[in-house]
Order: sequence, then C-alpha cells, then structure tokens
Amino acid sequence: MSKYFKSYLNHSESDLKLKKSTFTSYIEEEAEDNIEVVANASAFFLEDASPPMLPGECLLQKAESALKFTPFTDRKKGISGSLFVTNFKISFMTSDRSSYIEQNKHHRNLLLEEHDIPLTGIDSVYQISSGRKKRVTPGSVVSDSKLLQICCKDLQVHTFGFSSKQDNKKVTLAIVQHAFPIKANLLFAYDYGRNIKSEGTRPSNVPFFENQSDWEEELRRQRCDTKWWVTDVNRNFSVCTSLPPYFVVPSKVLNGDLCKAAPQFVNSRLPTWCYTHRNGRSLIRMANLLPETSDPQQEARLLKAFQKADNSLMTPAVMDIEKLCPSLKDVQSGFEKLKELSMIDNSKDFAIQDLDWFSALENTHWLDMVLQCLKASNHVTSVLQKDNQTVVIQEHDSRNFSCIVSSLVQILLDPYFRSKKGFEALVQREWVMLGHPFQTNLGFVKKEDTEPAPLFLLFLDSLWQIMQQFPACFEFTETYLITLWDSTHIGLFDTFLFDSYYEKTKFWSSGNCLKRCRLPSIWNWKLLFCDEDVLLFNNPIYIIEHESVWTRTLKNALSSQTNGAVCLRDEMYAKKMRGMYEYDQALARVDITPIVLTPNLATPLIKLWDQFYLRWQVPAQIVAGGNPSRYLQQCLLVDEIIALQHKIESIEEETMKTRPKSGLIFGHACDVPQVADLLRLKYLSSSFPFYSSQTSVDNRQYIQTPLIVYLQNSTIDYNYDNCDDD
Amino acid sequence: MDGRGNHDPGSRLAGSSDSLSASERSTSYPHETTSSSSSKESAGSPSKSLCSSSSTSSENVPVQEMKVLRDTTRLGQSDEPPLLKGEKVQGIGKDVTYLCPYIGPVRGTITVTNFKIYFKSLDRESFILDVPLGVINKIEKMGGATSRGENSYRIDILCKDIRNLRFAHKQENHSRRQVFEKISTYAFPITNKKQFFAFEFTEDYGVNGWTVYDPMAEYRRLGIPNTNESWRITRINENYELCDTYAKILAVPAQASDDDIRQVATFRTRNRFPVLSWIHPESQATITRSGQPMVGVAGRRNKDDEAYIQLIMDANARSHKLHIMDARPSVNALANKAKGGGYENEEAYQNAEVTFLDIHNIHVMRESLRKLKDVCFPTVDDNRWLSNIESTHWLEHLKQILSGAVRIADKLESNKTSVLVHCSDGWDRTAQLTSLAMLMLDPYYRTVIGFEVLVEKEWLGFGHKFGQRIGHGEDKHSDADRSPVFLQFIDCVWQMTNQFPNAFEFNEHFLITILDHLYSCLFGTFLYNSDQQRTKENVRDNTVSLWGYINCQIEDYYNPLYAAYVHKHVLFPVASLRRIEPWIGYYCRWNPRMRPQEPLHLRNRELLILKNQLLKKVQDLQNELEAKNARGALSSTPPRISSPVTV
Repeated sequence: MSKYFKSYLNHSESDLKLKKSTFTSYIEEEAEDNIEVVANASAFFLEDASPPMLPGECLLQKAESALKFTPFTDRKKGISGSLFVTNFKISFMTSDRSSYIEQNKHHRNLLLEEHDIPLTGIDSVYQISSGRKKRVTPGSVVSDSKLLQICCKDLQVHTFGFSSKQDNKKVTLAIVQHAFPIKANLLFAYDYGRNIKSEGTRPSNVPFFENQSDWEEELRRQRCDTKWWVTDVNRNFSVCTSLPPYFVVPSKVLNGDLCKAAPQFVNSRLPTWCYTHRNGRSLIRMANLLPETSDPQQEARLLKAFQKADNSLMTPAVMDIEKLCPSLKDVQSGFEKLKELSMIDNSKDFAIQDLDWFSALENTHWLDMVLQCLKASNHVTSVLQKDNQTVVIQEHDSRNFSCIVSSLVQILLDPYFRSKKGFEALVQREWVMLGHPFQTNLGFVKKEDTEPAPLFLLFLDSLWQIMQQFPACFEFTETYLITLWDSTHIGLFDTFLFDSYYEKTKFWSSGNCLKRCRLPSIWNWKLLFCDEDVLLFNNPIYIIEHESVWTRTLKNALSSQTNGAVCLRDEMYAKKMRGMYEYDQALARVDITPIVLTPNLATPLIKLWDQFYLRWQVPAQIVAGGNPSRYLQQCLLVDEIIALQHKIESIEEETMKTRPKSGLIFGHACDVPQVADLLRLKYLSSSFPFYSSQTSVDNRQYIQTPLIVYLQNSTIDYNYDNCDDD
Repeated sequence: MDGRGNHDPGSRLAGSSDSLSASERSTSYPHETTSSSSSKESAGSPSKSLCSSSSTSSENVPVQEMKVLRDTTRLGQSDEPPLLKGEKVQGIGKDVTYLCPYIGPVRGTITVTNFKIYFKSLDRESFILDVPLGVINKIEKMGGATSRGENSYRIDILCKDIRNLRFAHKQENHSRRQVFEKISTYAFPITNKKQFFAFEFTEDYGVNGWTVYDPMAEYRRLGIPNTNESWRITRINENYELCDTYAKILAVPAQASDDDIRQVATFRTRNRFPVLSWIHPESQATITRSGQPMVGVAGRRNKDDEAYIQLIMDANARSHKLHIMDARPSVNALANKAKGGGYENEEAYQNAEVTFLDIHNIHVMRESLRKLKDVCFPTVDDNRWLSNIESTHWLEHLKQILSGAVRIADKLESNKTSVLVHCSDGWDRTAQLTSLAMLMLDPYYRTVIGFEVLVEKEWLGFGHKFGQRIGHGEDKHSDADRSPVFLQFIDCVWQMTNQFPNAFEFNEHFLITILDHLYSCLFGTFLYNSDQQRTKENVRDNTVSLWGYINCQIEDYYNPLYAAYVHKHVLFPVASLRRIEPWIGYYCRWNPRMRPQEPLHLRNRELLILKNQLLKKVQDLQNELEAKNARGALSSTPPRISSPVTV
C-alpha cells in the first residue's frame, strides 16, 4: 500500500513536538546576560544524544543548552536543545526526541535532519551583541556574545542563543574555520567520498556525457550525427582542462585541426556544438580569440566548418553574449542586494522594508538581469529558428553566461528539454560537463580575487519566468527548481562540486590506489527524498497535455461543451459560441501548444519568484493560498480525470481494477487511516512544501483548512474493499 | 436590420476595443492566442522587442478585435456597426484616422450611435474599435485651422477605463464638428438633459438580474429575525424619510425602538445611524456601519447614540467590548470636528475602543489613479516600471485598505468582538472595508451570486454615490466628487483572488466585466447615487440589470480551480507590498505586449471541462449497466447481481 502524504520536502516540525519543547523567553536583548533557558522538556533529553553521522563525519564542537529562535518572534520564542558542529554540518538537536524516532524520519531530506545546516550551505555567520550584528569570517576576532546568526544560501536565517558565552565562542570558531575552506580538499566531500562504500546506483535515465556514447546518442536524437562527430581530442585533458574528454565538432574537423586551433582561444577553449534545430541550424559555444593570437584564420576556418556542417548558405552569426548579458559583477552585487531584501528575520525590518519594497526591488536590478538573459536567449532562438542562421555564442572563456543562454535557447526550441529527464541531461551537458565553475560560483571554496556569482540561480529564475508563461509545457514544477538550488549546497554530490570535469577526475584519484573517491550524483533524487516527496516535482497539467489519449478526450469534451453551454443564451450569442468552437475543433488540440516557445518579455510580466525568495518570510506567507493551492487544485483535477478515465475503461471492459496512481502528490487515493491523521495536522501555505509556520499554529488552526479536507471531495467513488468481490 | 438588432452586447463591448479581459479573450480563442504568439516571434528578439510595439500585419491587432470581425462577418459583410436593441446610428465620419498608440495610424470610418463609438478600418481588415460612450471622461478638439502636421487636427478622448483615444480628421472633410457634437451629446446625457442609454436598451436575457438581491432573504441567511433574537428588521426607512441614502429595509439591535433610532440618526452625519452589515454565524459578533458622530469642536454627546452603541455591543454576548474602526487617518478625523463631525470619545462610549485605519480620502485616491494611468498607458517605462508604480502609491493605498479589512475580520473571528465601521459619511471607505471584511469572513460572498449580493447590499444599498463618483453622463471631468473608490475595491478583490487562487467562484473576467459596465451606462445597476434615486427613476422597471447579463452566461465567469468545500474558513490576505501586485490584466490591458502567452486559467478551464465530461460519461455508462443488470435480473433467476463495478 503506498503511503501518500507522509512527508514534504524539508517540512518543519510536527505539531506534537511544538507543544513539548517550545519555550518563551521574555528577556530583552539588553538583558542578554540573563538569558535563561525555560525549557520544560529536559526530561526528554538524552544525555548521550549526538546527531546521526555520515561516513567520514566527525564531531568538532558541541554546545549544550542552546536555543534556536523562531524567526519573526523577536527572539522571544523558539526551541531548546544542543548545538553540534561536525565537519559536515551544524546540527541542532532539540530536547524532544520524538522526531528522531525511526518512524518519524519522513519529515525531511534523507541526509539531513530538520535542524541541520550543511557547512557548504552557509552564506555568512554573524555574532549579535547589544543589538549590533558583526560578521565573522575566518581569521576575524570572535567576540563574547550569546547570539549567533547563520545566513544560508537557501536564504534562510537561523539564530541561536547560548547560555554560556564560552560555548558560543567555541562553536562559532569551529563553524567559521570549517565552513569557508580555501582549498578544495578541505571540503567534507573528500572525507565522505573516501569513506562511503559506493556512490549509490546512478539514475539510469539521465545521460552524464562522461563517455562518448552519451554524446553520440544525443547527436542521434537530434538527427545530426552524420554532420557532427564526437571528438576524443581532449580525452587526457591535454588540450583544455575546462572541457570534457569528449565533445562535439563538425565531422569535417579532425583532431589535428583542433589541436592547431586550440591555442588561439582563451584558455585553449575550443568551440563546442550544443544543439541542432529541426531546420538544420546549430548552436555553438565559442570562447574569445586571444588578442595576441598568431593565427586568426583558425576562427574563420572553424566558422566555415560550422556552416558546412549545417549545409547553410549563410555564415554563422557570431554573437558576443557578454554584450547581451549582465556582467558577473552586476550579478554578484544584485544578488547581494536581493539577499538583503529576502533574508529578514524580524517583523520590524519586514515592515520598514515594505514601505519602499518596489524601488528596493528595482534597485537590485535582479529582474533586469533575468530579463537580459531571457532577451538574449529569445534573440538567439529567433535568429536560429526564424532567420535560419547558425548561431555561435561567444564569451570570454565560454563558461558562464554561455551556459545560461545555450540552456535557455535549447529549452525554448526543443520540448525534450522541458521534460525532467531532458532538463537534467541539459544541465549535465551544458553546465556540468562544459565546465561551469560551480565550486567558485556557489562558494564552496573561497578563492582569491573571485567572489561567488549565482549564475545558476539566475538561470533557474529565468526558466521560472518561462514556466509562468507556458504552464503546461514543463514536466517539472517550481518546487523542483527550488529543490535543485537547495540541493546544490549540500556538498555531497559530485554534480555541482567542481569547477570542471577535470577537477572531478582529480578528486577521484585523491583516494588511494585501491579505492577511488566517488560521490553520488544529484540526479539520483532517491538519495535525498523518499518516493512521495519526489512526486512534488510533477506538473499535473503537463501530464494531461502530453498524453495523446487526453488531448483526444479533451477535444471531444470541448466540442460537446458547446452544445451544453448554449441553452441559456439568445440565438445570436449561441451563434457566436458555436462559431468559436467550430474553429476550435478545426485545430488539433496538440498543436495549440507551440513547439518553440517565445516568452513575452514585457517588463511588467517579469516578476519576483515569490515561492523562492519569500518562502521563509513568515509575514508574507499566505495561509491557505498562494501558488501551492493552485498546484493542489490542479493535481486534484488531473488525478480525478485519470481515475475517471480509468473507471470508464473498467466499465467498458467489465473488469475490476484498483484505482491507478496518477503520479501526483495530491490525489484522492488516500484512504489509509494514519495518512489521513497526518494530513489533518497539515496546512497549506504559500511556502509549501518548504515551510509551514510554526509560530502561530494554535490560532491558525481555525482559519486554515487541513489538507485532508481538500482530498475528501472526490466526485468518484473508488471502493477498494470491493476489489475482491466477484 | 432584424438580425443586427438582436445582437449580443457583450460581444461588442468586449470586442470593443479591447474592453474584454484577457481571460475571456483567451478562453474563447486559444488558437488565436497561440497562433499570434508564434507569429510574434520576431518581436521577441532582444534588439527589436522593445521598440517594435507593432508595425505590420494583423498579429499586433488585439485579439478581440478579430473576434468582432468574425461576428460581423457572420452578420454579412457590412461596414455598419452591429446595433443593440434600442441603439441608433447618430452620425458617421468618413476618412478618419484613429491614432493607435500600438500599431500607429489606422484609416477608417467612425460611427457614433446613442451608445457607442464604432470605428472600422478601411485598410486593416480586422481592425475594429468599439467603445461605449459611457467610458468617456473628457472630449477635446485638438489643433485648429492653422495647425500644421499630419494628424494634428484631432478629437482626443480621455476615458475612465485607463486609456485615451485620438481620432484625426481631415480639415477639408468638415467631419470633426459633427462627430464631436454627436459624441458630446450622447456621452453626456445628463448634461444635455437626455436619458441614459440604459433606459432605451431593451434586451431580455431571460434572467432577471433585479431579483438577485432580496434584502429579506439576505437577512434571513444571516439568521434575522429567526435564529438571532438580538437583531430585528426595521421598516423605519420605508420611504427614505429617515435617511435618504440608505435602503428601505435595515437591521438594527432588537432592543432599540424606532424612536430611539430617530434620536440616534440626529447625531450621525446625514442621519446615517449604525446599521447591521453582517453577523458572525457562531459568535454573533457583528459588523455595523454608520456615518461619523456629530461631535464637533464642542465635543457634543448624545445619550441615545451612546445607549445604541451599547445595544450593539450587548447583542454579542461573547464580548464586552466594541471596536470602532474609523477608516480615516486620525488627523483627518480630528479635522472633521471643525465641520461638526468627529469621532467617538472613548470616555463617552464605555467599553468602546476607537482605532484609525489611516485610509486616505477620495481626492488622494483620484490623484493616485491619475498617476497610475500615466504609468500604465499607453506604454510603460521598462527601466523604471517598479519605482514608477511605487510613486503612484496606488498599491500602498490598496495595502492600507486590505490591512484595515483584515483587522476588522480578525476582531470578529479571533476576538469574537463586534466592529462598527465609519469614515466621514460612511459610503466610500466604509463600504470598501465592510465589504472586504465580509468577503474574508463569509464564503457565500465569494460566489458569483454572493458577490452580486454583496455589491447590491454594501455598495448600492448603503448609498455609495456611483453617479457622482463615476460621473455618469456628465461632462464635468474635473468634478472633485469623482473618485475611483469602487475600482479600488474591485482591485482589492482581485488581489485577494490572486492570493487565494481556489477560494473564489468567479474569475478575473467577472471583475473586469463589472468594471466595464460600471462605466458603460448600458445597465441600470450602477446608475444614480442612492436607492431612493433609483426608485424615483424606476430603474428596476425601465432598465436591464448587469446581473441578468452576467448570470445568463454564468459559466464564463467561473473560476475552474474553485474549491468551495475547503474554503469555509476565513481568508486573511497578506497586506504587504510583497504580495500586492499591479493588476496588469486591467491597467495594462490595452497594450498588446502585456498579454500572457498561454494563460494558465485556460488550461485549468479545460481540465474542468474534461473532468465534467468524463464524470458524465461514467454516469451514463453506469446507468446503462444498471439498466442492463435490471433486465438481466428479471429474466434470469439468480438474485445475486454480479456487477463487476461498484457504484
């Protein structure tokens, strides 16, 4: 029996626990010295409690009787427990043990407990004393204070209080020393990789592009394998360390040509094929030529080869995307400002910020930058698809904005990349294998002279904007995108941990000769989430849109709707209605969804991604509303449609079947009593599934509808008990 | 002529111009939406997209304009406009140029009827503009005999629905004067001592909208007089003699006699004594509304008023307190004392607590909307869109109103305390607050019919001066009494529907349709300033109600994601600018660049249709099966029915 609804990604504490271990501290900040832990839960506390550890993980520091404050309560409420620092995470163990019981494990992420913060996910650390925040960095003085604030890359802010300043000091020191390594081999991943037995099964359906055959398969899928070939010129990284061992070039260009051409480009970065559209025109990524190049003809020769491969009369359009996209610096500073807006943890700042919210948001220029990326991608798409011209996108070393633009262009052009598998393959190919410097840009390792730049987030945000405009075209949901961003910071997956594939291979050999260092891939979502949680990634309207049986049924439904709807109208109106639907029927429903997407890029239509940026902002949470309630309702509709269709089949065939699974998190098929009980305690808010407010559950209960109620209104009756009836 | 006479007004209004909401447009024409999107790809290229707000081809012509074309084509290839029942052509101007802000000058013929302006292009097959005269705020002649330059000899029309229209005439044609005069005559019937078109419009939709709201039924729904003994219905205002801006039937505390009420009325602005708006089904806490007390600088008191307020408090046994929510900023409330008004003194009113909700007056709101129109029409400044929006303060005002309504709803729901709401007269801000709070508290008002009832009761019944605030039929465009109070309310409702996508039975199209007919003067619903005036003009018998038009095609206004069964609860919208957004679907709807590519609501609607279809099929099949089994049971002896299916 499937257990639906048990868990939601990173779902916060159960109501049960809240009652047991909350405390109320009425001490003002000025009276910091008097903080007293009013914990009534010490009885539950087990002396020898320590957080569950991963292979290779070890305890560094520990502070007993610590507090974790609930955001937006002015540090007057929270939970008490102990804080542990390991070489992997900060772990806060509450006095109440109920959530650590095996059967309650379903409350979150399978690798992290609900109060765990992976060190790689820490953005910045602050000490607060006498109301002043002081940032602590490696090497800076750690002062005596009782409050510690951890700001995370998923935009969450955690504030801890300690009964002893000494505890705070040693914990803070441990965190600062380990959270910001200056060398890659200090990352916990190295300890982890050496100690795990296997990296787990690789998701079979996502190509990794680490070997020749994945590339060849993609060329075949795009039907261009005769014109382009997979070169192995870089198989020992002898040509370029930021390129993968295998990549694609025109079949007329041989390895010898490539070796000659490489030194002319920045970092010897050779041009690589990305995509060939149905019209035979391709998208190619190319680095800049070195200014002191000795042989500028190499570029022209390659361009000619691209043209020939595409059988085109026109020379390829070379686009300098550095001119079309924002600069790395802009992205960095814009994101810093955006973080200030979305990492507020108290009501006062929230209210002040609200006064000039729009101008402050505009001031970050974040939405402008999203728009710039989208416009650049739209432009490339249009030249390639409408002007029938092969496009070469050129950037300094072709590792930053090239990833954004080439991915977006492929998503706009090809529905395959809007499926979950296709999207993961795309990220794997365009970002991971073609060498986007994730380690630097996600801030895993502090490097001299370079600041992290959240280009991948900029890409996800741009993609979210497209999803808003084409809601039925994507197999995955915004929850998937957010989860992907959050997961990049866990630091246990090799997918986003390195600056290039070359560095990854170096990492592998960092183990001893008998045992290579291996890490799991992020695309293996089963390592992070249980099966039910993964259902949150599925988009219900995509299911209907992409099954031909539905499009047929939908067409029939629309046409008969015409007849049903006219009865109330006068004759003229009826005529009008009929006219409309006649026209409808003439068009096959499938074609209504365009193959090539052209998002409308008017400024007012580019919006702040609220589920992402506002999810931890308790005062901005819409209780029982927001996008999740739209999602839920769509799931229910689709689930019911699938069940009805199935029922029709079983009546027609006179067979008895159990109700099918719809692949959706919300469905009516939840008739297991304990699941129903769980759902009765769950409420929906705009931050679902990431956060459910813990502060005011008591007074929210009567204004909120428990999730279970949503599911009790099925119009179809599926009675499993009768399955055995004959 | 017969065929035309019978035409549906919606198609015109809608097709009009662009007056249809994005929702309906796309609902009806999914193929067009997409086909235009694919043909628009060039506009998406970064270099061109900003400037090319259009140049060629029909792709940039707003979709609904094509819709009208199809209607008219069906009616025969005629240049004459389709007419409503009662509509007559008054004048025609040939060789006129409409200066479209998006696709540039369009040459064609302008027809003025007693209801609308109808412009049809000569060279652009599908271009039709169809604007009800009621939306016209101001009409001006621009350029004179000496003016130079192409298209400088014009008629400029400023509209109430966030757009301006400019028609260039040729001097030598001498068409401008006639067109100008016809428009002025029929756009401003009151100024010209004529009747509203609503009185000439004779369509019958088969549904009588005037019966949607029955005050007695609504009070019964609230439990008065049957289940609730603390409140009673009074007919004291049967002939509008006590308060000429209130409806006939009112509910008051049962303990207050009609004589008491007369005394109370003397102490409230325009005799607007506190009356019941809503009663909580469980706690019996109430929302009441009134005009401000006539306190004045002297700080007058009135024992009857104080006793009456106590009765309102006593009617709710759960609480020994009453909240008086004064919608105004406290400074304004204080300033009103100089004019004889003011607010309740907490010392005089025991157990009452006065709170000021800081909502600005009609003049501030009018100015704010004026700025908003500048920001949204005809095009937006891409570089400063958000800060421009901020500078209008429109969304800030919405936030203030919504947060006031949330406070009222919270007092009733969480504290079980009754709330009395007033501002100065109690017909603008008060109506916004009470109706929004009721929308949050009572799921009935979130249905199509319930919302119609809400508007009838809280806005029309308690005397929101629609006539003055909108300026129906008058050419006094700078009248200080005009103000977008109702628009602001509808915007707040839209914000709520945006925050709670499955809590409302109606969709965006419903709200936009209401706003379009707020100005059109096609229906009698929003005409005049009070119930008394509407009774005097016999609006009910002589005009059609907007609700009849809407309810005869009600499924067009349904929200496919509506989940009635879960939203029995209170909705508390988030009154933060992080969650309040500019309503692009309304304020920017004339701009073809602002239309979504593939509207989500269309998908949702399809899902619902599909589900209902399948549901019907299942039922049919089961009925068939039962019939078959029944036959089988008759013919064969074994009584055990081996139905493979469980019903």
